[in-house]
Parts: sequence; structure tokens; C-alpha cells
Amino acid sequence: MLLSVLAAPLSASYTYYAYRELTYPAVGMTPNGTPTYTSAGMSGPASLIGTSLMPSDGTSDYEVKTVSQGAACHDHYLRASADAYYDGTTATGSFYQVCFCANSVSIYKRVGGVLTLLAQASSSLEGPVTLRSVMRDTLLRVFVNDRYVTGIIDSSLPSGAPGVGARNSSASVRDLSIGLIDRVAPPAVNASSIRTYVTPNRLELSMPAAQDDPNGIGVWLYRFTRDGVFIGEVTQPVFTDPTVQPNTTYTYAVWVYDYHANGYSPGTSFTVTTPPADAIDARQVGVRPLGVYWGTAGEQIDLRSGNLNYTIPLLTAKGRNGHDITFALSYNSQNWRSDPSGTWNLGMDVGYGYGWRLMAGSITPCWRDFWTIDHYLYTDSTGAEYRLDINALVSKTAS
Amino acid sequence: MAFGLITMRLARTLVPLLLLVLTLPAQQAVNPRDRYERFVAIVPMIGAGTPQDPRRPLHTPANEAQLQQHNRRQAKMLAFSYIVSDDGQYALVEFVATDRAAFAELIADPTIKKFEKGRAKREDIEREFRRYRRQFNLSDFGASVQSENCSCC
Repeated sequence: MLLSVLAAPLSASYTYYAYRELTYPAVGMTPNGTPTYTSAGMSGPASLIGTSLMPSDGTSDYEVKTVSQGAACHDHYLRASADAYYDGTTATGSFYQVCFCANSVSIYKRVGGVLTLLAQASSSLEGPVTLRSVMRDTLLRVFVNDRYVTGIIDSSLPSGAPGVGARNSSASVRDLSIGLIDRVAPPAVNASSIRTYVTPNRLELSMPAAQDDPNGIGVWLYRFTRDGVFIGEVTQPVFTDPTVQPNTTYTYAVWVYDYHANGYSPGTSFTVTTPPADAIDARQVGVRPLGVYWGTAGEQIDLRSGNLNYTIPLLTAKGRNGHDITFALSYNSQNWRSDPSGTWNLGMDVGYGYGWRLMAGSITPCWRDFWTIDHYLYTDSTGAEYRLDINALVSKTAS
Repeated sequence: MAFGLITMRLARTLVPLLLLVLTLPAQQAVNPRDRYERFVAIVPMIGAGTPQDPRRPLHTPANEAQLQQHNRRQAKMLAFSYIVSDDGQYALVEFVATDRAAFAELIADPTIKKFEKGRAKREDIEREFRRYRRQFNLSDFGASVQSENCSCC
């Protein structure tokens, strides 16, 4: 009865091979410290190492999952020795430990008696939250509610058992699941299902959401390269590249990865050619100083694009120097586009009605890669967008 | 009458402000990897390796309690991750914070080589980092991916 195997699918029919409720002493797990058991789970300071819960595939690769109902404050152990234990003041054994506490996630390792803090990241741990630590080869990744939080690459500990811990008597952990690593990559994206819309300086791309294989852990992200160089990754099957140049041909590739780091190689390639610089985008939202508009009741219909803009100034903040800035609620009607590749939904509901936005304006950096800013995008309070890509130094002495 | 006028004026001021406050968090999300203030730096590893003083990069908190203490007195440090140099003496770290002020100690430390995201050139970073770790690649480096739907621009 204690040794129960519970099907706890994340998606499809992936199943965890071991489950422990931890409201009573767990079979197959070695206790360290002073565990106490209540209906809330195991409290500490203690650790439970699953010395009899090693994966059946002969590796030390696995996923440890716990579900926290309140504010989480407990640990996952990976590649741990039977005596692995760390409560902040005392440490024994060897281990990787993922500590979920104080709305932060910290990864420690202890090897040869030396404790090292490997990574730390803030994350809301207010319950209920699902906490997952995935150990595969030299890679440890941590997810909170299916969102990646932090991870490490380390080869110090090639083997060891999974486990859990609670740092003190007020912390508790329950509902432990341990799963095998899914080693089957999600199917590659079908190139014919990829839709693109290209303007001289922008590529928009969408495709159907990828599905993992029937026993898979679930699709995590889509990774994109352009001409062989990594340009970004997203968790939804839509992507924008605002850094393309006019009249240029690019070869893109997309990989689909699951939560256990499987990606179908070599990915799906497709080629895109951008139009010349003078090509006109049929979509133009917002109200621009040089635009021609028509309207008699506050609406502004763009006579070039046909977009209907309706902007309601809500608040004007005035500064002592005479400057002011207006916060406006605006709506633009060009939220949908229909072209030979299908229908595109370009609008969204950000909390107060589809297509409506409240803003004074914004300047957003657009990144060429993770490190380099390509240009900035200025959006005014009507939603009109201006690409700021000329870095001109103005000299007072220039004629 | 006067009370009603004041109430109306107050409401006219407060309602848009309230609306603004309530709706700003709902604005379109930016790719988390491109959010926040980020520095990469080469810092020495410190710490005795004990439970109270774990090995870690300089300018990082030793534990969760120190992190909370640090975040109470400064702008919030969100994350860090690192790889060690080939000789094990240095950490090549990425620091992430909500505000540049969180890097005050790091910026003020003249002994440390540091680079700010969006300002430093990729080639300069890779050249410097490869002096400490020969196989370094900036594309594979970072505190976290935290990917979401990128609708940044």
C-alpha cells in the first residue's frame, strides 16, 4: 500500500514510476535528521533519500516532483548518497540539492565535504505550486508550475538517488513523485504547417502547437535559428523576428523540445525572402502626425490602411517645467489579417477588453540576439509604432 | 454640495489612476530572457565550503537568509548563475536584477571585470571570458531561459 505507483500525467500519458504521500514513513527511502509525519506531510529538519527508488533504466537520470499547497519551503535531492542532508546549518553526504524557500530557488552541491552554491533565482512559491527538478546527464533544470526557473550544468556527481527534504519543523513536504527521463523527442514541426508574414524589416511566424509523443513528458519550448545562428526560443508556437533586412533571403530552422531536453534533430528548415524596402505593409495602426484620417465622432480612420483608431485620453500628468504626458486608452481595429496562409490574430486582451491598450507610450529594445540590441521600438499612446534604428549623434556645431 | 464636488474631483483623479495601476501588470509580456537588468562578470570564488559559508562567487548571497537581507536593503537581485573558470578559481557569472541599483557593489568594485547587457559588445565579452575558460560561448550562457511567448517587438 505504501509503495504505490501513481499515474500523474503532465501531458499525454507520461507516468511517474514512484509516488510517496509522505504523511507516514516512506518505504524505500532512507531518513536523515528528525522527520515527523502529519497529514500535511513530512516536516524537518530531515531528508528522505530514495535509495530503493533508482530508475529501472540503470541511469541516475530522473525527475523529482512535489506539489506544495502553501508557501513552499522544502528541498529536492538529486544524485544523492544515502546520508545526504543539508538544512542550512548542517550538511552530510554528497548531493545536488534544489532548495525551494523564501520565494527563491537555490541549487547547491556537496562533493568531498565541500558545499557549493551553484545558482539562485527568485520565483513565487506561494501555493499551490508544482515543483519539478529534472536531472539528465550533466544538466539539472528546475521548473515551477511548468515554467523554467534555473538550471546548472555540472559533472561532479554522475550517480546517486533522488530524495526530498524539509529544512525545519514548520516546513513540510508531501506528494513526492519520481519519474524516468523521457528520451523520445517530440515529432518535428511539419514545414508546410509553418505560416509566415514578412515585411521589409519584420518576420512573423506561427504554426500549430506541437504535440509530444504519446508517452512524452510534454512540449516545453520552440528554439529558432537564422542562417545557423541561434536567435530565440519561445514556449508558444508564434515567433517574431524584428531584425531582418529588406530584400534578403534567410534560412530559419525550428526545434521542438520537451521538458526532458529532447529535441528532434536536425529541426525543420524553411526559407524566407523579405520584400524590398519600399514595400508597404497593409497594416498600420495608431495615429501618426503625417497620416490622413477621417472621422466625425472621435474615431480616426486611416485612409491608407483602413485602420480605425479610437483613443480616449484618461489622464494627463503635468510636470513643473511645463511638460506633460497623456495616458490614453486606445483601440485599433486592425487586429485580424487574412492572407493566403490563413487568418492571423494580431490583437490580444491584456485585461480590459480585446484590442484595448492603456499607455502613455513605451520604448522597447528589440534584440538581435540575447546580448545585442538591434533597434528600439517606440509606441505612442495611440498604438502607433515607430522603429528607432538610426543612431545619429546630433552636434550643435553641425551646419 | 462642496463635499460632492470634492468627491467628484477625487473620483475623477483616482479612478483613472486605479485603472492604470490595475491594468499595467496586464500589458503584453516581453520575453523574460530580455527582461531586467543584467551584468556578466568574472569574479573570484569565495567561501570555505561549509554549510554556513558555501563556495560561491563574490557578490552573491551565501544562502536564502542573506538573499532576503540583501533584497531588503537594495534593489532586488533576481538571479545568478555561473560557470567556473578552467582553474576553478573564478566564476563567470550572470547577475539579473530588477533595477541597476542592485549592482551597486559590483559596479563599484574596481577589481572586477564586468559587462552590462545591451551596452557591452559580444566579442569583447567572449574574448575576455575565454581567457578564463577556453571553451566559453556566450550563446550557451545565462542565468536562465525563462522563455515565454516573445512578443517584444
